[in-house]
Amino acid sequence: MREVLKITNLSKSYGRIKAVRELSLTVFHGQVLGLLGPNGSGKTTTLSMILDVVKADAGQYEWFGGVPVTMARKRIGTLLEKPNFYPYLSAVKNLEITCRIKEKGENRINDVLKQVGLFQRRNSKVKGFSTGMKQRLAIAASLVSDPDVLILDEPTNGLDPNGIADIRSLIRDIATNGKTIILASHLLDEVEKVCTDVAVMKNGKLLELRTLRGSELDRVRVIELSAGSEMDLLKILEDQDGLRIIQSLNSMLVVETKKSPQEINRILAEQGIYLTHLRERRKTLEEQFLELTNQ
Amino acid sequence: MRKLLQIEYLKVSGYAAFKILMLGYFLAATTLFLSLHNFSFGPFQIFGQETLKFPYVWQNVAFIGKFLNLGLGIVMILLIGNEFSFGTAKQNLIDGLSRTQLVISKYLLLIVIALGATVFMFFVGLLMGWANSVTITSALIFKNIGFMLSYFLHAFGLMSMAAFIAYLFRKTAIATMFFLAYAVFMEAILRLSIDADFTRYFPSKTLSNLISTPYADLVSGMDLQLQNEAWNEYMILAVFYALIFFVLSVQVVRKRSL
Ligand SMILES: Nc1ncnc2c1ncn2[C@@H]1O[C@H](COP(=O)(O)OP(=O)(O)OP(=O)(O)O)[C@@H](O)[C@H]1O
Ligand SMILES: [Mg+2]
Repeated sequence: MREVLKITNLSKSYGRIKAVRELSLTVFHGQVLGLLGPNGSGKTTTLSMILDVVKADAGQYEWFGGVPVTMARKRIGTLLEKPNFYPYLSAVKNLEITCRIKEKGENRINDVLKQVGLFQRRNSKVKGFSTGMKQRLAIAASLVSDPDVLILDEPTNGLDPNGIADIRSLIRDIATNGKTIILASHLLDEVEKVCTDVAVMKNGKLLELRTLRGSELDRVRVIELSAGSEMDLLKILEDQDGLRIIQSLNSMLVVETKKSPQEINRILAEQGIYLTHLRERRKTLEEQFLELTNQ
Repeated sequence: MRKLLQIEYLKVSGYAAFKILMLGYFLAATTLFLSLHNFSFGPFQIFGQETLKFPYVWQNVAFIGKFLNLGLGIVMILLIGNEFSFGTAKQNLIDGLSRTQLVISKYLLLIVIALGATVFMFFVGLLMGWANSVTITSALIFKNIGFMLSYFLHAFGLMSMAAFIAYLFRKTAIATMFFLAYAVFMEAILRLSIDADFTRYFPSKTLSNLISTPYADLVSGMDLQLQNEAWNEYMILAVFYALIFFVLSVQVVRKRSL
């Protein structure tokens, strides 16, 4: 697969805070990479460095196999952290500026404004836009040049539920058109729904990089169970080999095990415990994420 | 170059504050020039009939313009400060301009504004000269027209200084205060304790020396011996300083995160 971006040992400190530590990562053409991590884990800093907005202390990055970053930026649509616009200009005028900078025609302006639901307000000044409307415009700005690569840093920030759903399906549409997307977020179901791969960051370090494509994730399965007495249930399950309790919430236990649900049901029944709830499901990204970042 | 100017044009053409400021500048200049003959210094009418005749009018217009240029400098600071407060400097960079291009586009805009102001001053001088001169020959009209170049270089130099200060401080309010303080008295205080042979080449003094005070000659000599020629070594120095400010601005923008 073609490499779109190759990051090697990228580091950045702010005084004594190490925002990003020796991060290495490769993004391939067509990937939708979710960059996950708790607040302050270095996602925005990483994205800022690969666009040369923030100067890296050490390490390299290479766009499109060695295109200088100034040229590369024209081929990337970016929404970094917060929308930045000329407040006294209309939505359309702001997008015209984006197009001029990107050296792309202005023919897509109306289309992208329709896509983000701002067409009716296209001639209003950005000054009067609500937070979510500015966010929508920022997404429109990242799309307007029809870029090969999209970098979206928390794109659904401040959006209403309809907006979130719209933007997600937009991202998925764009991804199916063979574009490469890097999506930073802490909304896990968002990442799970649209991404092909995830990179998990914590304290500036890359903890894990894995694909969500195919069956790999499905193999990690968990079982939810609850019974009349949670205490008894816990006592028995804790004694079982090859079984790990990963969550206990509202009298429902979530366990990770190689055993089948039938087997568990049988063991418990033999001890005189009858389940009120038993369900096997794949482990959510959220559970995996919490596990990883709480270590 | 053309692309960068077009982008700057898009930015300022929809900016009401910019248009109001520029309009205010031209209105202020017009009223000032219309009331010049009212100014007096003791018994001397500073801008008497004589000073507004060709060819002297050019130096006087340029001299007044020198002070009005402080306003142009502040406009430049506002435009650059905005890019930082709106986050659009960062966004322009993200979208594909280089750091150097960010600075170049502002300097291009500044040159266009300086040119516009010079054209305005040219018409003001022409009108005032026309109204006050008894004899009008093209030789007389154009004799000291070089002061319009002095005026342009002053505007260019001062706005370059303002732009650099804006890139250095990024905050409009702080940059404006520093710019005014430096141009009006800070450098003058600095100059007090240093040899004049040296300090007349300081940036603010250099720009000021482009157009020497016309009425000082008037008061002391009483013979209307103004600065005979617009041409002086400060012209080269002013261009040199503008270049320095440009290079420093590029350095400041390149070194720091946006
Ligand atoms: N300009 C700055 N000055 C000082 N420290 C900074 C600066 N920018 C980021 N940091 C620090 O770097 C670390 C990483 O911040 P970053 O914004 O990259 O996190 P993030 O993963 O994007 O977080 P969030 O999910 O909240 O957006 C944080 O500890 C933050 O305090
Ligand atoms: Mg962030």
